Amino acid sequence: MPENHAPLAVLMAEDDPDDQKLTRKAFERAGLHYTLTMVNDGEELMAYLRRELPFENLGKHPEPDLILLDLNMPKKDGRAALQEIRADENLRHIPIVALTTSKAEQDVLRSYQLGINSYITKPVTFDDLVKVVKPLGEYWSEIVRLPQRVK
Amino acid sequence: METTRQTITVLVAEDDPDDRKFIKKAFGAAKSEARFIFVEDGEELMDYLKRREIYKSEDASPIPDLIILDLYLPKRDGKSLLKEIRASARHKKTPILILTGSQSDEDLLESFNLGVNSYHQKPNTMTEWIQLAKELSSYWIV
Repeated sequence: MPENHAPLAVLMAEDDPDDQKLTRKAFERAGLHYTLTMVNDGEELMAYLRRELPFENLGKHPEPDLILLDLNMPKKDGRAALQEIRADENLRHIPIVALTTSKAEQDVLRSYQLGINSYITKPVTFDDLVKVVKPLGEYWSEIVRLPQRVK
Repeated sequence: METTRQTITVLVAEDDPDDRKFIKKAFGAAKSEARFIFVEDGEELMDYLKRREIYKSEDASPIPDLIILDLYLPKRDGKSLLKEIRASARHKKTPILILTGSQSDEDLLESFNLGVNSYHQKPNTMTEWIQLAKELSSYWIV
């Protein structure tokens, strides 16, 4: 893995602690050049992105290159967070990939309508999760030209 | 992308004939299982998407599952094209991949602000074109 670029800063919104653990492990196993920050629900996600407490330190909580979004979360679900992010002129440029259990066509269509960049159904097994995470990370670090972090 | 039994249709808006050739060859070499349809300027693109003029019939203009768009097309400004595509009910959700020669950071940021799904610099060599086509196929088409 060429490291001639900065690590991909991934922010993941996921309420299930087991899924959080598994995804961290999958990223490690995939051997990507990345940083991975977890938030537990849509409210925390928005607080992070808006640098509200406890995420006010820009150094510790930089703007992500990529958001991985679970659609079904308590307090504020992924769909609502997605809408808010796309409505915010300071945040709307950030690439967002849905990584969620639902494979329902309704959810896929609605997510694209609301402005998701791409939609991935969470695989069931760990090995399959690694098989998904590796190309996902490679695509967003190496193939896509990402919008500028600081405006 | 939802996988269905129907062939995936990729609409490519590209005015440069050499680039169109590279795109055809590269996706061919990448063995992409999709139907590629080409339009050559911004007006033709919108005629296609809105089913106007020669694109009136459904057969002449199958709905694209994916749009590959050069930002700088003749006849229409790329940003205004993006706005119009994203404002349309039918194409609000269609993934749009920008494939451009532009190095501008402003073009990059503005494209994401206007709702593109992905953004790519046009490659320089045929090897790089094929590599890009393989990556894009594997992420968006298969």
